[in-house]
Amino acid sequence: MRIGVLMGGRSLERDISLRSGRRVCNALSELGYDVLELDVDESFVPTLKSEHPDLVYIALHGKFGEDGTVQELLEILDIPYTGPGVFASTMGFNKALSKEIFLHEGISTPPFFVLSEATFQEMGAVHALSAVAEKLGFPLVVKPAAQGSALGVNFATSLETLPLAVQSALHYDERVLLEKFVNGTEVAASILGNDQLEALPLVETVPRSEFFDFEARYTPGLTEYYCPARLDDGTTKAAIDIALRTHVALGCLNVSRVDIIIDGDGVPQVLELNISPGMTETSLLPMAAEAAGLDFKELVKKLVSLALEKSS
Amino acid sequence: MSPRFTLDPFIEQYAHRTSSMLSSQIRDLLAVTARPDIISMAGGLPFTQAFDPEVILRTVRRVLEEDYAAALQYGPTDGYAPLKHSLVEVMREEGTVCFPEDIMITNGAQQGLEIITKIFINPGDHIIVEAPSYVGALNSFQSYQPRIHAVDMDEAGMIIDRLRVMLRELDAGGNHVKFIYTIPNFQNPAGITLSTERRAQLIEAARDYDCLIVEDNPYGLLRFEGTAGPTLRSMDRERVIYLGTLSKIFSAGMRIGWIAAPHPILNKLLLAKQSADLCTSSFTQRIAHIYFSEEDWRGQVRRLLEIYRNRCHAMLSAMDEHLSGLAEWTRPEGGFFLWASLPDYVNTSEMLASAIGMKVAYVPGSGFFPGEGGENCMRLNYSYADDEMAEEGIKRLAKVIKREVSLAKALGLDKRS
Repeated sequence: MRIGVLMGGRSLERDISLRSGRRVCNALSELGYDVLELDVDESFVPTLKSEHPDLVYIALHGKFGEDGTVQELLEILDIPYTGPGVFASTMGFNKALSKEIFLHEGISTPPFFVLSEATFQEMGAVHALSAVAEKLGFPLVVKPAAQGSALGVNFATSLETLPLAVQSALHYDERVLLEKFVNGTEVAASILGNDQLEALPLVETVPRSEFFDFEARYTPGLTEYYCPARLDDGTTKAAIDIALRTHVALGCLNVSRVDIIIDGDGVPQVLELNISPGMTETSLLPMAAEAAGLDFKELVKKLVSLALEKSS
Repeated sequence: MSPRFTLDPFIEQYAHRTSSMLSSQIRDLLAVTARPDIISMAGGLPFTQAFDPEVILRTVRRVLEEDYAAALQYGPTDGYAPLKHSLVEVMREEGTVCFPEDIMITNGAQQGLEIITKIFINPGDHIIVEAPSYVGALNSFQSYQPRIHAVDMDEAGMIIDRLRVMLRELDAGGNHVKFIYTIPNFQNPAGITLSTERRAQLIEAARDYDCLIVEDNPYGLLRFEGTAGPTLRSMDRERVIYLGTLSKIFSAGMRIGWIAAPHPILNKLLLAKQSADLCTSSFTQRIAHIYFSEEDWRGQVRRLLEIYRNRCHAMLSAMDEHLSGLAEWTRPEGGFFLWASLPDYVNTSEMLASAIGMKVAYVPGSGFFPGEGGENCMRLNYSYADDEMAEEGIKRLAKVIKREVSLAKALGLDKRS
C-alpha cells in the first residue's frame, strides 16, 4: 500500500511538521508501506493526481494543514486521510468557534470574548477593553483565534499591558481571543478511535520555573511532563470524560488531543482541541501512547488503520 | 509516582556559559523564510551565482593534479604559507601593509572572533561594541560571559565622545576594557562606515585607556561608492587585531578567514586554534591560493561590485518610493545591508509574523544589541534580491508597516512612549 505523508507546508510551524513527518515516514517504511513524501506547494494537487496514493497521512501543523483546507482537497480527490474531517478541522483550528460549540454542548471552558481587527481599526474597540477586563478579570490570556501553537499567545495582567497583548495576537490572525486565565493543573488528553473511542493516559505539563510564565512553558527543557498525570481517580475520570465529550462535540474521527486545565476546585475546563497533534520526539501524543503500551510504530499503524476504517 | 518526562533531560548538566544560548521565536519564524514564496531580505548571503563555475573547476583541478596528497592531509595550525602571501596581496588592495608572518589563517573570520574572545575574556571582563553590532560576534562574546557595553553610532560610525565617556566611567570604577570591537566598513547590520576622522579618534581613545581594538573587516573591498578610509590596522599595528575573510569576495563555503595581529597575541591565538580544530582545511586553502594568485580575482570583485551597487540602488529607490514617511534608513556605500528605523511604538520582532503572513521577511533590530535597543528597527539585505524582487519586497513591507502603524494607533499604543 502506498501512503503519502503530507509534511512541511507553508505555516509558521513548518519545522515542527517536518520533524513529525520524518518520524512518521520512518515508521511507515519500517512497517513495510511504500512511502511518498509530500510538501504543500503548487505541485501538491498535480502530484496527488498523478501518484494517487492509497492514503494520505497528514503530518502538517497550523494553517492549511489543520484548518480543513487540505482535508477538503483530499475529500474532493477521494483520497482517504488520517485525522478528523473538514468540519472538525475547521472548528478545532478556530478557537473562537470551538469554544462557542463547547458552551453550546455544556462543556466547561474558561470565559472569553473574541474581537476582530476591524473592531479596533474601524469601531474604536480599544475603549471596550476595560469592560472586557471588568467582566473577565485579570490576568487574561490573549491568543490569536486561529493559530496552531503558542505563537502570539500573551498574558495581560493589567489594562496597561492589554493593548500590547492584543496587538501581538493580531499579528497571527485577524481575530483575537481574550480568555480568563484559570490557574491550575494543565493536562492533555489524547483520544483515538472512530465509533469506539479510547482515551490514552493523561499527560500533565509542569513549567519548571516557580512562577507560571509562557517562556517557561514553551522553552524546551524548561517544562516537565508526567504521564499519567498526577491526579486522583475522580479527577482523572472527569478529565477523560470531558475530553471524550469534546472529541464527539466537534465531530472528530481517528484522533484528537484535548488540552484541559483542572481548576482550583478540581473541575476540568477545556482550553482547546487539536486535530493534528505533534508526532516529534517530544510531543505529547506519542508520550501518552507509550504510557498506554503503544510504541511509536504501533501508534502510526493504529492511526493508519483508523483512517482506512473511517473511509470504508 | 508517574514517570516524569522532560524535553531536554540534560538541562541541569550544561555549563553556565550556555545560559545565553537560547533558541528564540524569531529564529523559528525566520526558519520559515526559506520558503520560495517569501521574499526574504533577512539573509546575508553573498551572490555566489556570479562566479564562473569553470574558473572554480580549473582551480580545484589544479590542486588535485599538482598537490592532492598534501591537500588531503592535515596542515600547519597557522595556515598554508603560500596562501598567506596571497592574503598579504588582498590586504594591500585596501592599502594595508602586512607580512605573511603577521597572519594566521582561520576557519572563517567567525573562528577568529571566537578564539580572540577565548584568549582574552574572563567572565565579568569589560568589552565595548557598536550599537547595533554583528550578532555572530555578540554570540561569540557572550559565551565567555563578559560585560558588553554598547556605544551608539551616527552616520559617521561609533560616536567617539560617547566612547570616551564610557571609557572614563569604567576606568573611574577601576574597570579596564579588554577590547573595543568595530566593523569599520559598511557595518553589519547598520551599513554605516566609520569616518576617517573618527578612525583616528578611536585609535587615540584606545591608546589613552590602553585597550586593544578588534577590527572586523569582511566588507572592506566591497565599496561601490565613495572613497575608502585607512584600515585601523594600518594606523596602529600594535594595538589592532585585524580580522579578514574571503567569504564575501570569493566563497563563504571555503571557510577561510585570517587574523593579523601583534606577534605575542598571534602566538597565543595559535595555541587556542590548535585546541579548537588543529588546522583550517588544507584543501580549501590551496584552492584559495591558486584562485588569488592566478585568476583575475580583482576583475571578479569589480563584477560583484557592479551587481551589489545595482541591487542596493534598486532597493533604495523602492524604499524612496514606498517607505517615505513610514521609516528612515541608512544609505550604504558598500557591503550587504541597510538599517531602517520605524516609529518608536512599532516593535519589529512582533511585526515579523505579520510580515511573513504577507510573504516578506527582514531581521528584527533588537537581536543586534547586547542589551535593550533596536526594537523599532530592522536590517534589510540587498545583496541577494534582484531589482524586481526588491521592488515587490519593499512594496509588501510598506503594506505591513502601514497596517502596523494604523493598528498601533487604533490601540492607543502610539501615545505611550
